[in-house]
Amino acid sequence: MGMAMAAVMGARLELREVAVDYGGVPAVAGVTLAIEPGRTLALVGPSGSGKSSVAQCPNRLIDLVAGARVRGTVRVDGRDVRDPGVDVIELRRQVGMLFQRPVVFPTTIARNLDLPLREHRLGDAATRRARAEQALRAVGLWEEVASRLERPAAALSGGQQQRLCLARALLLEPAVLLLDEPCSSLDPLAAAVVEEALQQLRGKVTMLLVTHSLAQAGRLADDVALLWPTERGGRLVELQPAAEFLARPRTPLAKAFVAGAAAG
Amino acid sequence: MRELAMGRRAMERAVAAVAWAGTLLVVAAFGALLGELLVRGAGELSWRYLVEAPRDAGRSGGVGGIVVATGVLVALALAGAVPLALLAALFLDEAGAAQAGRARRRLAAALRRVLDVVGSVPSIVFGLFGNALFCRAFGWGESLLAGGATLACMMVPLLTIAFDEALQRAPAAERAAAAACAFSRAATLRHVVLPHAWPLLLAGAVLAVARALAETAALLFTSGYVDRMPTSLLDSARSLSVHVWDLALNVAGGEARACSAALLLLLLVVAIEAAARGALAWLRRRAGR
Ligand SMILES: Nc1ncnc2c1ncn2[C@@H]1O[C@H](COP(=O)(O)OP(=O)(O)OP(=O)(O)O)[C@@H](O)[C@H]1O
Ligand SMILES: [Mg+2]
Repeated sequence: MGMAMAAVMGARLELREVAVDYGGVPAVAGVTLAIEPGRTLALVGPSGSGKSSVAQCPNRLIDLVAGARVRGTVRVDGRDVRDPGVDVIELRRQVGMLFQRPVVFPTTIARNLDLPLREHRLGDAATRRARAEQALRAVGLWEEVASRLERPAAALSGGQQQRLCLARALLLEPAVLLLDEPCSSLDPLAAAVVEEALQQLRGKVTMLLVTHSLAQAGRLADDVALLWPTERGGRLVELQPAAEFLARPRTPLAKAFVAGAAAG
Repeated sequence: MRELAMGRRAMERAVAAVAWAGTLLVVAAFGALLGELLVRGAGELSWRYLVEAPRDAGRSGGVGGIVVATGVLVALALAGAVPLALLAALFLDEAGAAQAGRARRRLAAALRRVLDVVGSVPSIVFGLFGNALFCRAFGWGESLLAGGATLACMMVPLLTIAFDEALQRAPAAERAAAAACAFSRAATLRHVVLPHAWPLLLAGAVLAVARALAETAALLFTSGYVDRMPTSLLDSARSLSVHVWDLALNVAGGEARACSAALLLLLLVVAIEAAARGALAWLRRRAGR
């Protein structure tokens, strides 16, 4: 996608013994994994296994949750994200995020893209417009919205909004993308379009993809990690290359999970 | 079972009937008041009434200086109270964030309690307080400045509570999205929190202005009731509400003119409310919503 991602190949994302609790109630128990630059890891597991909690650690979005406490270490490009010297704004520029439900800002399509660029002083008005167009093309949205950039973003369909959010995240040229079930609020067609946009990003940015769809994990991810809920929070029970995980899960829980997904 | 259900239905009907009756009563009372004001006061309302000075203790002439004084009092009060209330509301909002420390949260809780208490203090007490502080300690005497400052003190709790509510309107998901876009606190405030807050911010301001317009007790002690056109902020001057009060209670044969002034006051409130609606519509259009 030209300017936005060509130069960046993504950063290494590393989690070491990451544990999360909410007001003392454990949600994640010591997860350790690493994603090499430009690779995509799918995080799967039953509801409540702590996938979203893990996904909110690398950009420290979990700081916004009252009562949440994180232990262990998360490193982006080798740097501990909770190091006192880390500027959280800089960190979040480097680590973009997409949520389960698309969240557009309460303004026009154009301004949804212009605001982040302006906030980070990325070019004059003309440059910003060009970058916005490029980001919209990268997610396959340009043709659909070019004629109504000044219309409210909230008037777009869910799938279009989600691609707008992806474009908005890409504008800042992140090295890591956190995707928390980015397709699960969309109808199958819209989901396919968003997935295609993500497919285009593979290799250009490091992605942590939370998904309930093993099929999607198989299509998008290099590796799959399975979390399982326990008394003491979600545990990592298996981590394998995607094809291996789907074809030959090793642990009983993974076998059950893959079989269950195939059955249902 | 069936008897129970019937009992419940009868009960529901009774409650609905009472609610309707109450609503009707309020509407009727307001209608009667408006009718009275219109019948007795509308005749005098004219452009000349708005600009001419009152004569014969207000029995004739207009309300020229009084309208000006009212505008200045409200403007002073807003200028003092809005920034303070915004700062207080922002502090409360920040203290409610997940990252806020214990000390901050305690302070915010204490502030909330103080605001609740101060907000329910009778206005006559504000009048005495304003007179002691602004008129005497500050040496402003009975003046527009002292009246405006006193009104501002009365507005701050009301405005802070309204503004605090307004700032909490933004959905948590949008705040999270702003954070995920690496927005600073200030940027999140501007682009996410404020767009959702405008309706309540304006509603709070309109309510505060309406209350300031209605205020008499506090102003009698602080800005006084001289009915001349003020020439400086340190002049004593009369607000419309004080004028209504004076005509109705102290001036023999002043009732008709009291109705005119009261009607004008009512029209002012309606106009301000309409202006706020207009401002809101404009903001919405500008934001592309
Ligand atoms: N804000 C919160 N406050 C309290 N507990 C929470 C909070 N968020 C999550 N939890 C708890 O932490 C555990 C893990 O939740 P999390 O959302 O990370 O799971 P998940 O794997 O993403 O689930 P899902 O597939 O349903 O999205 C759950 O038990 C959940 O109830
Ligand atoms: Mg989740």
